[in-house]
Formats: sequence, structure tokens, C-alpha cells
Amino acid sequence: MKPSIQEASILASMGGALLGLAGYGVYLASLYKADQLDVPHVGLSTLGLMLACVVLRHLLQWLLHRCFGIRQAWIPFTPMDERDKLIELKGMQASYATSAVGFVASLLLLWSGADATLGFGLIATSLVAGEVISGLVRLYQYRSEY
Amino acid sequence: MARFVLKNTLRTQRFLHGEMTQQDLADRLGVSRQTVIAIEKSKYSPSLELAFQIAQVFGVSLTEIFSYEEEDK
Repeated sequence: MKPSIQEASILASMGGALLGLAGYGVYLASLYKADQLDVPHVGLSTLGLMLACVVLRHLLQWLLHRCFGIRQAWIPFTPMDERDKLIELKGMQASYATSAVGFVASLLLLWSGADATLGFGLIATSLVAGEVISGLVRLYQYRSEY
Repeated sequence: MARFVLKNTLRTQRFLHGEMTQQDLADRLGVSRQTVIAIEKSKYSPSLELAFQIAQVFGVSLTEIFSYEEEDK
């Protein structure tokens, strides 16, 4: 089933976030094994995660648009009308809720004496997870023809 | 308690206006085709401004297009 320009953008965003997060997880695990899970390494890798998500998102969007013959291949989707904006808002609600849960969980981790890098990693993960959950919510809204 | 929904005659109006396509209507309203589909199926209630724009496109009053009725059982 051919996705609309909105759905293609959401799929690209979710795919970029998931791939970025997977790479981040592998990198953090390798740092942990090498006993290098320190603040500078985690800081740099989180910056890498954010950049990777943006690059992957654009690449996936281009790929989806090419595969399904959707116009505006390189232009990121921006909400076009009032329904798009409403769905975007619902997605943002879900994203904020996920990020907030991750943030509180990381504070609790720090409180319980866990390493600061673990808390930081959890915050970064919850931000990306928020993007994925926001995408799922928006896709559901579009697919249910809200 | 009875549940009310916003019903519409968009499909009929499009038919009466030379089988206007959903895309044509969407272009004239400045919204996406998906939004027109959602409104037509009563899945999405448009803003008051968009509702007036729809009425303007068809040259009829708002109440000829939208009605607030009890949901079908």
C-alpha cells in the first residue's frame, strides 16, 4: 500500500531513529566491554546518535519517496493543514510523555547511585524512543483516517 | 445518553458540482486529499473556518452541508 507523503515522512523518521538507536546501543556496548564507558565517550556518541538520526531520516525519506514515486523527495514534510497539525500535536504529546518517563527514570537511577553515563544514556535513549512512539501514534491516526 | 456526530453532504455536493474530485476540492481548500476523505467519512470534524470555506466552494449555506445528528445505531 502506497504511503502518503505524511506517512512516508513518519516512517523515515521512525526508521532513522531506530537505526540510530541500534547503532548507539552497539557502540555503548562496545565501550562498556572495553571499559571506556566514560563521560567524554558517551557525550561524543550521543552527539553522533543525533546526527546519525537526522542523516538516516533524510536518506530513508529519499528512498521511500523514490520507491513509491512521491514528489518532493528532499523536502522534509511539514504539517500542511489543520488535521496534520492536530495529528502532529498528538504525536508530540506521546513523545513528551516518553521523554519525561525516561528523564525521571534516569534521575531515579542517579539517585540510586548508578553511574552518570548510564543516566545520560537513558535520557538520550528515551528521546529517540519518544520519536519512535510519536511516529507510531501519528501513523495510527493517519491510518485510522482520523 | 444519545451520541451526536457531525454529518455532512460532501459526497452529494461534489456530485452536484460536476463530479468534483476529492483532490480538486482539497486543492481549492488548501488541504490534503486525506483530510477531505476524513471529513467526508465524518472521521474528522473540520474547524469552523474550514467548514465555511467548504460551504463557499459549493456556494451553499453551512447547514446545507453540515448537520449535527444523533449517531446511527
